[in-house]
Formats: sequence, C-alpha cells, structure tokens
Amino acid sequence: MMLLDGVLALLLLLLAGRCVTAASLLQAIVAFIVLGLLLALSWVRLQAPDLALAEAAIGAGLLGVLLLGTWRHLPASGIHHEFPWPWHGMKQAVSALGGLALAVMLALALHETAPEPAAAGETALAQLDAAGVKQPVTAVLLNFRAYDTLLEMGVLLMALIGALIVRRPLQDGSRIAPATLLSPSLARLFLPPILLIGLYLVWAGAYSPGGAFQGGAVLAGAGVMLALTGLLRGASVDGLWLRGLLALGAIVFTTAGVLLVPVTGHFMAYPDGLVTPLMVLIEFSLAISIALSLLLLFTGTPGLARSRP
Amino acid sequence: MTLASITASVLIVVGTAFYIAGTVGLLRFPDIHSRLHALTKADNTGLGFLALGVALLSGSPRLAVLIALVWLLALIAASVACHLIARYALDGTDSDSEPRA
Amino acid sequence: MIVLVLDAACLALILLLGLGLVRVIAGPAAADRILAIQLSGTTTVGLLLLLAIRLEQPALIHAALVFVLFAALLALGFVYGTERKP
Repeated sequence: MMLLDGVLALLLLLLAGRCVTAASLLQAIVAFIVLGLLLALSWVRLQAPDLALAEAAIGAGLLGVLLLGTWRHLPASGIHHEFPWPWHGMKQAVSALGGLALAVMLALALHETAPEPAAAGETALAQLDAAGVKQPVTAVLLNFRAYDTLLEMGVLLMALIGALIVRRPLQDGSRIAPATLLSPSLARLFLPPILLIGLYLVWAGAYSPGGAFQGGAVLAGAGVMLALTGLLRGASVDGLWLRGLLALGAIVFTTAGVLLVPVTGHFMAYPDGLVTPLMVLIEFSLAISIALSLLLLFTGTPGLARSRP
Repeated sequence: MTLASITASVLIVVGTAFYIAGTVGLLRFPDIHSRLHALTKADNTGLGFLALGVALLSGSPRLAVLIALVWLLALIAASVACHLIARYALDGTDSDSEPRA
Repeated sequence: MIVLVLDAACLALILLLGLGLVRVIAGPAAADRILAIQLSGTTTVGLLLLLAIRLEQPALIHAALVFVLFAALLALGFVYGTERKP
C-alpha cells in the first residue's frame, strides 16, 4: 500500500504539471480528467470516501463532460487569444507570483498546524446522536454547519446566473442530436440506473458516504446524457416551475431554519423529534436544485425543453 | 485459505493479466482501431474477472449484486463509447488541437 | 495471503494507469487520448473495487458505479455534434 501511495503521488504531480503545460486545450482537458480519476483514488487512500464519491461525480465526471462540451463549442479559430507583449509577460509574472505566494502560504500553514487538529471533529462525533443522521459528514454539512451549506447552494446559483449572463447565443439549443442510433438507446438504457443511483446516493447520505451534492451531480449526469443524445435540449425561455425547482433547496433549507426559531430559539436549529425527517427533506430538495443548476450550467441556457424527433 | 479465497485470488490475477494486455495493446498497436480492439476486449474481460473475484470476497449478496451491476453497466458504457470513438476516428478528419467548427 | 494478492493487483493497476498516461500525453490523435481516458476509467473502477474489499469500505463500490456511468458520458460529450447525417 505504501508503494501504491507513492506511485499515486508521483502520477498526481505529473498530471497536474501536464494540465498547465499541455500544448493544446484538449490535451489539458484530457490530463485534467485523468487527474480527477487519480484524485478520487487519493481521497480513497486518505479515508475520505465521501470526497472520493464527490470527485468521481463532479470532478472527473460532470466537469470533464462540461469541459469537453465547451471545447466542442469553441470556434475552430481564435481559441488562443495571444495577448500583446506587455500583457503576455505580465500574465506569466502574475501566475508565477501567485504560485509562489500559494506555496509559501501552504508551507506556513503546514508549519503552523497544531498537532491536535481533530478537536472540532471529535466534538462533532460526540454530538452525532443529536444530528438526526448516522453519517458524520452529512451531519456536519446539514446540521452542525448548515449555514455554510446554505451559502454553498447560493454560490452554485450565483455561478449559474453568472454563466447565463455571459452565455453565447450559439449554445441556445442549436446543436442537433448525433446521427447514430446507438446513443439515444444508450440514454434510454442508462437513464433508469442513473436516476436510481442518484436518488440512492442522496438517500444513502443519511447513513453512508453520499448525500445531496454527490447524488445531485449524478442526477445532473442523467440530464446531461439526455442533452447529449438529443432527447433534451436547452431552451431560451424558462418556466416558473424550473425557477422554483432551482430555488427549492435554498427555500426549504431557509424556511425550515426560520420557521423553527420559535420552537428551538436558534436559526437553523432543529427540534429533536423532527430532525431526521427534516434532514431527509432538506437533503432531497438540495439535491434537486443542485442537479438542475449543474444541468443548466452544462446546457448554458435558462430553460430546458424536450426535443421532438 | 478457503476455497473461495483461492478462487478469488486466481480470478483477480487473471483479471489483472487482462488489464496488462489491454494497456500494452493501447501502447503498442499501430493505429486507433487496433488500439480500440485491444482496449474493449481486454479491459472489459479484465474488469469482469476482477469483479467476479471481488464479489466472491465481498461475502454479501447485496454487495455482489452491486458489483455485478458495475460490470454490466461498464460493458454497455464501453461498447457504446468505443462505437462512438470508432465512428469519430473513421471520419478521418481527426486533428488534435482544434475542434471542428 | 488474500491481502497480498489484493495489494499486488492494486499496485499492478496503478502502474498500468501510469503506463496508460503515455497515450494520454503522446496521443497522437484526439481519439487516442479519449481512448486512454476510457482505459484509465476502467482501471480506476477496477482499483476501486479492489480497494473496497481491501480497505473494507463498501461505499467505494458506489464510487465505482458513478465512474462507470460518467465514462459513457465523456465519450458522448467528446463526439457530440460532430457526427454526419446518415
């Protein structure tokens, strides 16, 4: 296992270097996807199966498809914006300085880290019984630091709004379905297992690695597959229901937090008897919003529509 | 050392051998379609043997079903993926750096 | 004994992942690189299955499942919009 870790670390460095030095965009993307695979394995070795799952679903999977899709949409020329002289040099200088600063900060952080970093973790584990879920990571995400998770949901929605603002009209569902018969059949064959696994991961978050983010990403993958096989396309108009579903996670999370203030006396605190059903409700509504925003980030449109052949 | 674990060891070793063959094929074969051939056959059989070995070791029917599902989906995914890549390569306009407009 | 077999298989697979990088880096064509991703993906799935047993973390099988599902998506994403009309 030591050898395995050594090889893994070596390959990680190699691929990370490759990502920034690759000769073309596609080569960098390919290196990045393989880096995602290795990162997932590293999380496994670091005993963080939750992160391994997240990396598998988001890092290597969804992000890889997103990057490849973006690469496809780029025009044949004009990808490499060569900046005029002073800016070009400055870009490299800024990157070098940034890298150096990051390295120094990391070194300092490693140096400063106290030998007992587990205090918060132990407190969380001790309180696990009150959290309403058996899985410590989910308990921390949805209960102990619920406020952070709510803001993360907000960040994702922000990212989506940002992407919609800068989107190009080209991506407005203008791409047609691939002509091969196999890919729609793949979609039909794969859709039930993907949906099932996505929902299962959301549900499993309560007692084993999984949860809203991992499950949501897998559900988004189902949508991306429908979009890639032409069964679903981006539309420039969005319905009220879609906006509602996008906001659902944040709305349910906040409403539960606010409505229960008279009972518990604190924002985002949950009463004992209700805590488990609340966790599940919040988890599923978050997953729906996460899945939809990731899918819309992929199509780059504010709405979705069914394609008719 | 039980019979099950001996069988599992053999299966895992055979599976790994198929992985080795697949990777060597990917590196050594001269053109994309032969590489495809090396990859699809070898590493799906490899994953099959490996999955069988691991399922034997898992000792629980639930996990065994899950592992079987992994292999089944991998088979479907790999055949479609390789079909798509083969078609793409057949078009002959496969250049590296720039996408086709 | 079985631990030894599992460890050896894991080590072999990670070395194969490293070897496969030659195709990732050398190409020459875009399709070669995507092929290398497919192989790396299947190798990672194999590794995750082995590690699930070796480290006694059944949840890793879920991670393997997720990788399998996204492997097909990557190929779909790569060829998207490039195919001829029949």
